[in-house]
Amino acid sequence: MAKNPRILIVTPTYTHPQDQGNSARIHAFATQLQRRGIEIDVLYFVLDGLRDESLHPMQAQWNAVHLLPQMPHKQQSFASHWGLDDWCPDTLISRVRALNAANQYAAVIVNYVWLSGCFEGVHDSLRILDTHDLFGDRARIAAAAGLEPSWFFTTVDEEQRGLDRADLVLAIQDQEEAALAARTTSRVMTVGHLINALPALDRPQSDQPVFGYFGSANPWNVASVRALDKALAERGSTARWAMAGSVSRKVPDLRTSPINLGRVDQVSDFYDMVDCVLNPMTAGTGLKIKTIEALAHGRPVMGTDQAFAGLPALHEGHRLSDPDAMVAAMDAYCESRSYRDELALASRAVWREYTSLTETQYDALAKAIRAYK
Amino acid sequence: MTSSLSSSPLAFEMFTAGAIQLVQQGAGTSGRLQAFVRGVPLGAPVEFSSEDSRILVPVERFPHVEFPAEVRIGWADGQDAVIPIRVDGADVVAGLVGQGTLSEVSVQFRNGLIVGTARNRANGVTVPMMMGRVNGTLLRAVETRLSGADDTGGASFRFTLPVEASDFSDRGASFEILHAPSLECIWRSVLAPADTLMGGGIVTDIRLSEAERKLADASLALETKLNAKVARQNRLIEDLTAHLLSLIGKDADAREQARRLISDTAREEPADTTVGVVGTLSPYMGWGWSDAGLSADRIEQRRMGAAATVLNPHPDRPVKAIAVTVTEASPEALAALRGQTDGRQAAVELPKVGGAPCTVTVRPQDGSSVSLVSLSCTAPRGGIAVQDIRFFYA
Repeated sequence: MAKNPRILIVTPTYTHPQDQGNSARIHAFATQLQRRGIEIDVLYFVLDGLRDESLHPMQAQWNAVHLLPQMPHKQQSFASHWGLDDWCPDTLISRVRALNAANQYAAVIVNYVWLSGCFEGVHDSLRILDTHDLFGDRARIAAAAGLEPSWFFTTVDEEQRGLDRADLVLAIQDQEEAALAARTTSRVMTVGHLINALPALDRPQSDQPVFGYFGSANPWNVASVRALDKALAERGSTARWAMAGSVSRKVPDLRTSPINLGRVDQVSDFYDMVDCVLNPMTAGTGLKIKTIEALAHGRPVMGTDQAFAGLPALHEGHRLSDPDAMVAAMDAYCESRSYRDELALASRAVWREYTSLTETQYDALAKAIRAYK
Repeated sequence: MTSSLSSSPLAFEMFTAGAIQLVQQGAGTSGRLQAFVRGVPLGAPVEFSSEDSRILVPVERFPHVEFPAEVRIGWADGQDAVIPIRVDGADVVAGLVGQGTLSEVSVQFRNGLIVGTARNRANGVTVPMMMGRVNGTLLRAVETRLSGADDTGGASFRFTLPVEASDFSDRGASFEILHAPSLECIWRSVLAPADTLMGGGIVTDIRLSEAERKLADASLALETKLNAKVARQNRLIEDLTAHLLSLIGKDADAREQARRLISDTAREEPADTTVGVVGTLSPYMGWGWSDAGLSADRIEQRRMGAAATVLNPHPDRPVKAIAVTVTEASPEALAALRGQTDGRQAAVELPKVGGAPCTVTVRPQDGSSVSLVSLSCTAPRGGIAVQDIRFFYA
């Protein structure tokens, strides 16, 4: 019987707990490959800190966990944007090279294009880049949404240089697959995001439902919450809504009065407490993991076009044009039982369809890894 | 990067209001330039030709940064055009983009306090000076602090203004938040009279908060009084002892003289009604002062930052002059000290000879009543330390 392939995943964030979008993505991604018989080694470049509640479960789940302490970023190479490798220290590249030489991995999977420098020392393994997001032209997209550029942002040319280092580039949703294919000569495929979650607790039907928003404190989320709050206030809506996650600390001056759940111990606690999940995302790139997460917990989800990018939208509540349209949909949800039932059924159908499609994507990826060696 | 830029055809010359001035070196070049901090654009790009010997790169806004920060001037492709320019403090930023304006003011009434947030989109590094005005006349210090960089540019600030039950009359109470030194009103509200349901609730809320505050203050006041009494008695005993020793061997009236001395020393000193003294721990010390500390000579003092405010304890009385007792300051800092009374420029008179310790006199333009004194120091290393501020009334 053929030996199970062993791969190395290079990540700048922890895989446990899954309390932020990228952690959830990397954990779910590696778990899916593990279920397909692939042994996972993880090299965590500690940019997001290290706690006992991260390290011990990581060591329990993965074949091996290697750590590289955080170090300062290099000076920004350009006046207006980061250079591709400014966040990728030479020590990390050497460490990947050494681990690959010692373990002869079938594949090295690097998360984020700004760590693609790690491929420089990898020549006899399948080089897979999980992009998470588009980083070329990100500052312009932020400016269009009225936001200052933050975190990592670069040019399309710099991003292309990173994408071309990989044998296989992974998009998180099919709209980004097209954009990435236009930016690189490497092969591109979509591998979506699967979450295994227990359905949230049943809640009785009510014409005064609690809507909920759950998000981290990133600028896109803050802008989305502010836009929703403004629309609710200007339309005089009396809909009850709750907010959870670190975003709630960033918006102390809202005009409406959401129930502030703050940071919740378990993600599922939030879904147990709300009837319908909102994702008013107005701009941004990537797959909206909070939409996927809500669907996985079996809750009806209401979102903008952006919130459902890369997902099969099956209800008008899944393709709302802006926060004003979301407030109108919230009113409809409160007033009409049939609207509530339709949205719930449609949300479940979206999740079924998406799950089935994504399972086949992971099958194809596992096959590509097995076929390489 | 720095070595390749040393031969750049452009060089940084100076900061000006709203722009960074570059100068062409050698053969002229042309192109498009834009200023950035951490990749955040500071203003619109500017085109220039080889004939422009000087180029003004616009700076319209400045994000929240830690100092020292680097301003970088980039070509259209993002490459640096000049060696990164170091910015050491908020005073340079204020010179570039001004103080900025406060917008999106949001205010709540909570636990006996007016608590609010405001944003400054243009200037993300200067903590705004704010004052409260109660019932149209009484100025009160507002505590202001940075709440964080704003994702949409600039920074957000939180402020608190204490409210007292005595602020409410049968006509209610009005509160204003003013942006110093211009005293532009950025928020105003009139609260209901105390005998209405809403007003009554507010006053009860304030009284509860005041009771808590007074309980804490009472023990401090008691301790201060006891300390003062002990100090006065010590002084009395020392003076008396010294006097009695000097009288040894002299005439029989010595006993009577000693009794008179005891009586005089123990008597309370009369208040000087023509001078209002604002000491380092006074609540009339407004915004912009460090915590109280001791000078090298063991004098209690507070140090002002780039700007600071002082409230007049008797704002209804005409002020002839304001004397600032400076304990420590460099000659450059003293020379760069400026004063305003109620947003109007005031004459600042320095001692003709020598530096700190000294008294600096701020003279209002027309000798009228003064509510707020604003002091500012534009010297790069200001750090003026002050023992007290005395208001001389007409």
